[in-house]
Amino acid sequence: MLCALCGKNPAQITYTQLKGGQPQTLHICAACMAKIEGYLYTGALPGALFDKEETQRRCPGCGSTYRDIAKEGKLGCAQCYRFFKRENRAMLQKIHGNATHQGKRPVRLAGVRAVRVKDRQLTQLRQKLAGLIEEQAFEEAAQVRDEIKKLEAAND
Amino acid sequence: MTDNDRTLPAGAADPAASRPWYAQSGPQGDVVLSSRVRLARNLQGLPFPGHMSAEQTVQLYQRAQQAADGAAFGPGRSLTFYNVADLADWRRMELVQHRLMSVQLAQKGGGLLLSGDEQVSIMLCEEDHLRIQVMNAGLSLKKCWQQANLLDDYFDSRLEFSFDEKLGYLTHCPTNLGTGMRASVLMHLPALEHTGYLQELVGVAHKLGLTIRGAYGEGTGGERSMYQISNQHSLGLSEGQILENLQAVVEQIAERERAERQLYCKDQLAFCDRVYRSLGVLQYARLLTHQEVMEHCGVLRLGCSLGLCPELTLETLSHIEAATGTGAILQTAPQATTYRQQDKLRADLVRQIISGSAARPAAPGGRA
Repeated sequence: MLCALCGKNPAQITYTQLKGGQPQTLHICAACMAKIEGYLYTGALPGALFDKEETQRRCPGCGSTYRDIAKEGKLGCAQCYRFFKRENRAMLQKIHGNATHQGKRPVRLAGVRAVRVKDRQLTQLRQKLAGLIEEQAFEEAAQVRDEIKKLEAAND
Repeated sequence: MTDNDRTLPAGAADPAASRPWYAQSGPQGDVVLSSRVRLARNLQGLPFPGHMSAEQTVQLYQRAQQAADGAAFGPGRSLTFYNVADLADWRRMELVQHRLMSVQLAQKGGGLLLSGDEQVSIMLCEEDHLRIQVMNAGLSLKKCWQQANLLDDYFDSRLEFSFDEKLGYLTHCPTNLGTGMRASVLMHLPALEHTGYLQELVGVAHKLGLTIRGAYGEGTGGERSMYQISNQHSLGLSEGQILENLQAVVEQIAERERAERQLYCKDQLAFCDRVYRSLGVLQYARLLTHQEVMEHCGVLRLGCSLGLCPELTLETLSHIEAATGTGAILQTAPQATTYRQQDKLRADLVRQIISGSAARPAAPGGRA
């Protein structure tokens, strides 16, 4: 049997992954397996290998496919962040966790959409709470939880 | 306040500070050599540099130059554009040595906007469209950030950077998302290196949200006990939090280094002998390689900071280090093409600086 990906070398490895709870199997050669390991290393989902449509979608801003991005671990243009939002999620989660931007905003956007300070505080507190629970610092976590409740009530 | 009213603090007004920042010693100069704040920014509507056409690259250079032309930057502090490909080899070498340009930009080419005092360098088409860098001597992170922040606002009002409410400033590499900021401090840590504490620190730095690496960034070793300490995360923290965290850790490391230096140099006579042997080489040698100069300056730095070498100051050592790079030698003597000629000129220059009769380095602007 020839490799299902390159169609050139004999298939030596059976690669199985779950997609939507269903196992999907590919018979591939050692060279293609090495490539898949490369994608895994960069944090990309090898799911792209199973979904031809996925690999052929091109960002309208720069023409990159998600496969290109996964290979390099870097994006082609600012639009790639929105165009491949779903695919980027795993990679961004791996690098930054659930963090959101807390720094400055361009001055020119100040009048366009004011940032809600409370929303930011809530995000920060929720992150702090998760950390405290992980550290099993329950007493401090309870205080932070109360703080969150108070702030949420004030928001309403 | 209009954009034109925004001026950057004029750091070079003091005549004693007329030498570039890398030839000076700043706050906590016994341990901290320099501070840098770098912001990664990309323009809306253009692919990132690796995906840009030659035409788009030229357009970006033009737009950045036009934006820089009006920069209200304080007297004599305008930004000059250089195409890296047009710079002489020695100049590229010198810019990399002083960390005004990355090795990557020097090799693959790109644009560079450089201020006359070389405190501000903006790399164009490196990994991102703009990498705004502000550098100063010693531990001066806040000063660097204030300048970088003003420049960022100034260029954003003219070029409009890509920004997302959740992800912050959008960058080529997703590790730079958020503030797009890398704040870093270059430290001289011979005692901590000797005791092995530094190696332990490198292992746990990520827990503090920091990265410790060699002086010239990723993949470089701690040459001459010089280490660069920078923030690891750019998303999820404000610029102020990043700077506070880094400043606090650097101050602690500096304190520990000072304490360990006392123990490291416990046998004062033997260490004093080492310091004066280094001074002797610099004062009397007739041929000096740059590596030799840097090694002896490293020993003398330690000696000066412990008060064991009143003949020299940290300021003088910074001056020697900055003035004796191959790039700087070739700038003053382009005819010195052989190593032997360069080594002779270097030794002459070191002796001149030590004896206090050396002329100050030429104004850094327009040396391309």
